[in-house]
Amino acid sequence: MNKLRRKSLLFVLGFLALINGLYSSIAAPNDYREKYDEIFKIQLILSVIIIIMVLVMAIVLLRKYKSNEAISPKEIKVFHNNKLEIGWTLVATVLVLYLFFISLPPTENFAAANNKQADVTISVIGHQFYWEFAIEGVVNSSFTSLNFTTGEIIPLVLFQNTTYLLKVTSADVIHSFFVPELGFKVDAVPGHYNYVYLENIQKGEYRVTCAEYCGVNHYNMPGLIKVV
Amino acid sequence: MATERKTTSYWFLDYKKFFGTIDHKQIGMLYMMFSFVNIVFAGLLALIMRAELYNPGKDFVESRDWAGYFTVHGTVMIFFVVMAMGAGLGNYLVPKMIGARDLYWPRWNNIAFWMLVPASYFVWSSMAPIGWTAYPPNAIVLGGDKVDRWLIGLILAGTSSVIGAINFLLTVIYLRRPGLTWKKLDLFTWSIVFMAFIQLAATPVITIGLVMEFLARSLGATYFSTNAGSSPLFWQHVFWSYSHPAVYIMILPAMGLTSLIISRFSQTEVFGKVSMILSMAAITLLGFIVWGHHNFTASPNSPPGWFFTLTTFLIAIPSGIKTFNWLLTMYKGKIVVDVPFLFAISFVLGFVLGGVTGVMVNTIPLDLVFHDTYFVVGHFHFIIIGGALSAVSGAIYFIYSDMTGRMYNRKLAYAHYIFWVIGYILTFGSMNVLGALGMPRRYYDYSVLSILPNYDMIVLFNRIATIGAFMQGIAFTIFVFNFIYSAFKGELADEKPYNIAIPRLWMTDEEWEQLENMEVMH
Amino acid sequence: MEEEHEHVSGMAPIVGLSFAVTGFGLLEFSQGNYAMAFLLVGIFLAVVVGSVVKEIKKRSETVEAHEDEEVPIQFKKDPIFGFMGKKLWIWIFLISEVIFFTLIIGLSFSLRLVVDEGLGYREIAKFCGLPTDSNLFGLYPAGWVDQEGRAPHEVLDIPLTTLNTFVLITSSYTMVKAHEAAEKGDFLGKWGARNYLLMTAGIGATFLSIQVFEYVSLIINENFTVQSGLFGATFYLQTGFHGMHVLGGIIMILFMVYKIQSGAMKDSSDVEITGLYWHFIDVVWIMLFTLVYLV
Repeated sequence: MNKLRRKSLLFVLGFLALINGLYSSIAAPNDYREKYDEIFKIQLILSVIIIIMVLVMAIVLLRKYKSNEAISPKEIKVFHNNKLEIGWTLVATVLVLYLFFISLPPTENFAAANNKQADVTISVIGHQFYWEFAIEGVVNSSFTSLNFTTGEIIPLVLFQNTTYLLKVTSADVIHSFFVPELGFKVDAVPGHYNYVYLENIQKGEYRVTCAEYCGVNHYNMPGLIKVV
Repeated sequence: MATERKTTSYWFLDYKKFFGTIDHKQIGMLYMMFSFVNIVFAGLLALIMRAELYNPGKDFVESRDWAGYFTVHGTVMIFFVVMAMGAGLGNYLVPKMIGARDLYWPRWNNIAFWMLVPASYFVWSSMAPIGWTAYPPNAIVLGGDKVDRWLIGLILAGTSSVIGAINFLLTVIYLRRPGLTWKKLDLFTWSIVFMAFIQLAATPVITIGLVMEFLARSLGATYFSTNAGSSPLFWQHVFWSYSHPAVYIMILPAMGLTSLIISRFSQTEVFGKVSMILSMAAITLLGFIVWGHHNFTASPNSPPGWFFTLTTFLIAIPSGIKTFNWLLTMYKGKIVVDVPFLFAISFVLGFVLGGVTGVMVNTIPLDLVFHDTYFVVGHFHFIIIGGALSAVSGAIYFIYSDMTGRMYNRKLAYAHYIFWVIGYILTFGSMNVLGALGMPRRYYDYSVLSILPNYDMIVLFNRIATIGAFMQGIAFTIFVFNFIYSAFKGELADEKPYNIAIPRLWMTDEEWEQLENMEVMH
Repeated sequence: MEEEHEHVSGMAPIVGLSFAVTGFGLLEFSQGNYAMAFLLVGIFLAVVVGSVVKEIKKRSETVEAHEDEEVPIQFKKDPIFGFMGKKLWIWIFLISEVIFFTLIIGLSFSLRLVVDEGLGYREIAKFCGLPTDSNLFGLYPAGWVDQEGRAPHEVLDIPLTTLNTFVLITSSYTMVKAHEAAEKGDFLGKWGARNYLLMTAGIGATFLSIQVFEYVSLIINENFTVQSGLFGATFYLQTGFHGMHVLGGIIMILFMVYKIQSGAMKDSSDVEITGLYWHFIDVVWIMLFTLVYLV
């Protein structure tokens, strides 16, 4: 019995170490993704602990109090422990507030993107079913993410040491500009601008997808960001 | 051992009773049957969608049809399965729990049920490719009458739920047994009270929204059009300020059922009853001010995202309290492990899994990745399928002998349980992984994601999700078979089917008094 | 047989299922077949009216109170809700209605605050700490005007509506008198509840006809429709829903008149319930009149 407990404890610790290792070994390509990795790691570890706690409690209580004898309604007992309840309410509150505060700074960064000064402003316009990019202030700089004749994907080329402000909107229905590897998505809403501030992205290719249902070809709305 | 009290009655075979019954138990059963019919077909839609996603690329469904399937699947599962189950079990159990003969308005009860039938017809016949959120401009520019049918169906369903809500509130307020004060009221009845309150307060919001979208489609009204100064985002706020509380319409009765089942089968009273009630009240009220967490990526700077993150995080506190109260209810009990109890434990598991993923989705830096991906899909399916539907299945097994006078087949019920739990953990767990890998939801074909570095994993987890979905399909087939077969051929039920005393259900006046004079132990 | 009869209702499922007819009516409406739409909604209303009339007739034939007419004894002793007696349901229903109208009026007016530069959204937003770039919920200041750039007071016929407001307030007065008479037990007299109720219904109908006249003249003469910007869209949403509630109130009053006439009316609480609903509609109109027409 004791051995089993030790083994399961080791298993849990090993699992947590695995999560920790998994998210430390991969370097994040930009700061959104870095923040994502950091918070996700914390939350994943906490979640695993909570799930295991619940399972262990359920199994232990079940094993201990399992019985098949019936008792009459008269014998039913009520248990009540104010200290315990107040205790775990406080623990839960502290935990939740901690999670809230660690999530805050990037929230503000993202929300205030339109106030930031960037070297280049790129307007991103969603269409059914492709993206259109244009560099603001440069005439005839507009191009689409899809070559309609060959079906090739035309990448948006960004430079690593330049800062960018993406100004996202849509020409028809709502789309969502989603770059999973860069850790952000922002909706393209007709008549409305959303801003994303990009800096210091690692060199590489990042796939753009649409994440808001926009019609039959929603799944096939390709785009590519290439950082050189 | 058959007793006189329980004899099987096939009342529903008489068409006069089938349509015209105003008995709360029979209307409750009608709701459950209605919900079963809907879950079978909406579940089939889900299986078709999962089968299409088993392999990347197009297999046997067209993209437009596929979009119709996920719209109808979502809408039907929410309005005509889970909410109908809540109304059905409320109908069946609430009068018993409060010692009333029937609901306060028996005939309005019948009307509310039969209104749902045309409502479901309109939703089923719509197959509108819009998603259950029906975001304009997509939902407005779409021609034909598909979206109109969908809107009409939901307006009718909303009206029905308001009538049901008023009826439940009147019943609990008017018809409680003398001496049954609000404090002594059991947790299931409390959960129905909170559910009815949300329905009453939130349904007007969606009705207005649906009417606005309806007028925008049929008369070209400019509620959401950008050149009139409005915005499609306006709909999102109207829609979610109903639809977030609507989530609690689905989960609150399930919470009540879990409290009921766990305490009955542990043969103790619920641990910390007052805090359970306060938690439900907190969830109900906070539910009205969290809707903005659906819009973190839609308009990141307004309204302020931090406010909605905070309020949503606060909901985690009462949810956590409830979870630990359920677990501690078993403490020093005499637990009879039987089918309904196992399903209640499955609810707790699904609720915890959905809860921790919910906390992740609510954190803005994570939501920037998870929003509108399979992570969200996995999250709310854990809550609704793993949580609410588990509790509902448990409750149906619990009252099965009382409904039909016969006992279900226990072996089949255990098979149902095992397939169900493994199925939903596989499906929705792998959906969470898919979301974290970057697969957006409502994707008909994920071969376009082949450029992502983890594409192999995406294919693998899609396959696991499909396998899990089919396991759930098998589980539900067993359930439906067991339900129908046992109603006709099952063993006649004992008076005490679970070898436990079941307070507040099937009780005599003396037992009521004993229960009311219960001592509190510290 | 007697017990069989009690647990089965023939009318209820017909009423429930007849909502399908309304649904098809709405569907015809959305496809532009207005005549068919009104016919179908009319059939639905006929079913509802027929079933209620049948019910009242049935109750007038029995002496004892119907099961949902009696208030349970233990409820009367309830410390919180006990005093409400039979009126409880209308209060619960009114909660839902209050939320409904608060939302319609509130949403429309907040839209106006954001979209209309003249109402000083920026100052209010600054005061509340909201973003002042006017994109709260994605809205922007396009002005509270119709497609031709006309403000509310240039389009709407305010003298006519003021008159209409007085008409509706008068009906509230007759409703109060009807309740007073019912309390005294005077149902069928010359100045009894029945006649006052008929008067109220008549004045309500006058209000509705003036409103229909206003709609027609706005649409034909002013080319002011639901497509006339957010102003037009919210105008018809608010006044239209209010008008539908007035229609519902008139039908309810007529049921009460029939109930008195057929002798099924046993005390004044039904008149009081109708009165509460009617006064609620009046209050909503006064809010609407102020916020839609005058501001």
